Amino acid sequence: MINRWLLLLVCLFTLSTVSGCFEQHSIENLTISMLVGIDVNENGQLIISQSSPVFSTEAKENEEDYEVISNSMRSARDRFDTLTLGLTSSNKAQVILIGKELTKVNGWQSLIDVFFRDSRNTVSARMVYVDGPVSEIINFKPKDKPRLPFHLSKLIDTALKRNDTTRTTIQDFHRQLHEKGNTPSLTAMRKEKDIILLGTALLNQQAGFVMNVTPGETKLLYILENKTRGEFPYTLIMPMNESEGIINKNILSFNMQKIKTKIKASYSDGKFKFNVHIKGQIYLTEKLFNKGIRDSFDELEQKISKLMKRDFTKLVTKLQRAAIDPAGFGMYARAYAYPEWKKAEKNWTDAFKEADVNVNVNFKLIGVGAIE
Amino acid sequence: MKKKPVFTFLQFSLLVHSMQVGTGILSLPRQLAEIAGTDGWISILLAWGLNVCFGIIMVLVMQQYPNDTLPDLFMRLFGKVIGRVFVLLLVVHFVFFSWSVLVNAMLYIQAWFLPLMPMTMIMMLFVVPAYMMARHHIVAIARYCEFVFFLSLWMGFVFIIPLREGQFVHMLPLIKEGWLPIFKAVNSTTFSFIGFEIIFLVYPFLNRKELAIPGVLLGNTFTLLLYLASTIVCFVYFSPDEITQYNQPFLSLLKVVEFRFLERFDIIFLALYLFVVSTAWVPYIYSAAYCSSHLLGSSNHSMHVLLFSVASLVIVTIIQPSWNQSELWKTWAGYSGLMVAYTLPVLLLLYVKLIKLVPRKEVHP
Repeated sequence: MINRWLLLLVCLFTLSTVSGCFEQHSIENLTISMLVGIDVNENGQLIISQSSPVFSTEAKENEEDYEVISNSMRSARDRFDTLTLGLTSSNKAQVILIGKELTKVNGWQSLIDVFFRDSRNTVSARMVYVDGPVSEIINFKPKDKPRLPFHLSKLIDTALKRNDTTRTTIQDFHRQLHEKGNTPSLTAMRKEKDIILLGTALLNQQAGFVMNVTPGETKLLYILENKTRGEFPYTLIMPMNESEGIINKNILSFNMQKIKTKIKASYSDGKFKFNVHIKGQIYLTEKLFNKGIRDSFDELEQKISKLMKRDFTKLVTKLQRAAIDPAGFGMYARAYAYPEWKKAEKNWTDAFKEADVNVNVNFKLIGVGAIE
Repeated sequence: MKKKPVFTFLQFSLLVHSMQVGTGILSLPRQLAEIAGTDGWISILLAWGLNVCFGIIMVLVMQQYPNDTLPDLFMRLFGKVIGRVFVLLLVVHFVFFSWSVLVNAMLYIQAWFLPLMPMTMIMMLFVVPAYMMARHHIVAIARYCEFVFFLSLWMGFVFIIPLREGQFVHMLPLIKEGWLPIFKAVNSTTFSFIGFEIIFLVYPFLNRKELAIPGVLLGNTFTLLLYLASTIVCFVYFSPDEITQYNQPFLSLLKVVEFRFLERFDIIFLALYLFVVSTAWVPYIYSAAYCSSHLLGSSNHSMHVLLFSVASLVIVTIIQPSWNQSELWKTWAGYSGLMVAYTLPVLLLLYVKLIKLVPRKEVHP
């Protein structure tokens, strides 16, 4: 019987520790940075900014924005703590904004270390390249949009459904940085009258900004990466010899579906060779030229495949010229030509520049829509 | 007359399985990738074959004296004095292994979700239930292992979620640098596969002894499937150039798993995974206590379990183990496991065969 009481006592004592209240924070005492901005100002100082929701009914604004000059993310947090009412925590961050000037700084990518080392931080925040100063976006308060962090994340997530932009989380970015066979790519964004998505920002292996590609090219990039979820609407200008006034009558739009990309790599004559096979189905959604389709079905199918091949080749050549490999051809080089890859992996983008990339497109025209 | 407690074939194989699976799985993908790159999964297959072989050797030893546990066997074979020395070594192994699993799990919990909680507190939460379980007979513990196994089966499905973001091209080419690194990496799996030495202690309680070898095979195969799945998912998700950066790739992987209604799935997973880890340390503590009570000739091992629990609490409070120390102990535990699970059964088998030969020669010179 004594044993049983002892057991009960021990259990009660254990229970008292179960709540784990050693680090509890009530939500009123937290400043939750949903949006983190990293940029460099005119004086060459690192600027960390944040935007967090305000839950007080007395406050007029529903979000607060702060900017501090700092050397790292964690020391910026210490500065924020002296500014904000609550304890700053970035473990619910939705979007990380990377300023244009920051990407010109060598080694800026080491700033993200804190997101991985401190296990309380999130790794699924979206990384966004801002074409311009970050403060423009952080201080943007449109009347007809929800709070900025939700506005931005929604903008990215919905655009991703139609593959108009890239979504790179911090985790993805980490992988792209360390993977020798590709180069990083981020969502690109700019503040004009509204905030607009520019497509994809392509970075080089040292995480320096190289160029932006349009939403159309982003789709092609996604197909090359074999990330073929979501919709792929695409518009081509067909050689139909129609008038090209205000309304370009040569336009043909379609949806690509069930896309499958196969990449095979080999090495010969001192060069890497890539054979890319893209297969898929096409549904027409818009046609402005007058020529009918019923009697030239096969011809149209081949024409579309040919033009798509042209667009893919153009994109790949553009990437090669810029010495970047966001589609990750290097991973295929590793998989299929390992000994040569081992020699080339240190300067993969140089080797990629010289590589032969042969794209084959084979699209099947499945439907032409409800009218002729 | 009291019936001798026995357990079933499934309980036996699940006991072997649950003793093997502990905290090793969390860092295993990295350890393999460091040596063999993405070919590391082949090392797991090889390790499985190796462990099954040694498991079978253990069964072969125990078959010679089917009613003896290992301490009984030591006493029978080597007499009271030398036998006790051997049992003492066994106690050291089990105590040390339980200790290193406990400390390791505690550090995971502290690092991943209770950074400010004192170590003593976390350890307390571990050892109290462990004491309550381990003071019972191994048959009860085996039932607990079986229960936890079925309770945690769903965890396997979580592996599928990150897979769709993965790149299978990471796995190619197979056998990049030849077989040598793959063989070398087998060594890293030791800590993760040790645990089947429990056969030495539980063989007498098995209800159908002819199923011992299939039981070893089944238990090891469960472990193999689990390790293989988790390692391959990690290799497919993380880049081969990146995976060595994560201390525990498996937890970093779970951190990515998010649902619309739930973020930070890793924390929930790790908390529930403690049940699985507990099925490793509970039988270990039992084994340690069983052997030590045998050493002192007492038939009740629960006092020894209590002693171990209190001692580990006190030691944790005094030492305040760091990750570095824990890694060191893990390596040592791997070595002691090497002795007990790999060297010992072979030597015992040879010895047993030898002494069975000797008297015959005396009878028929």
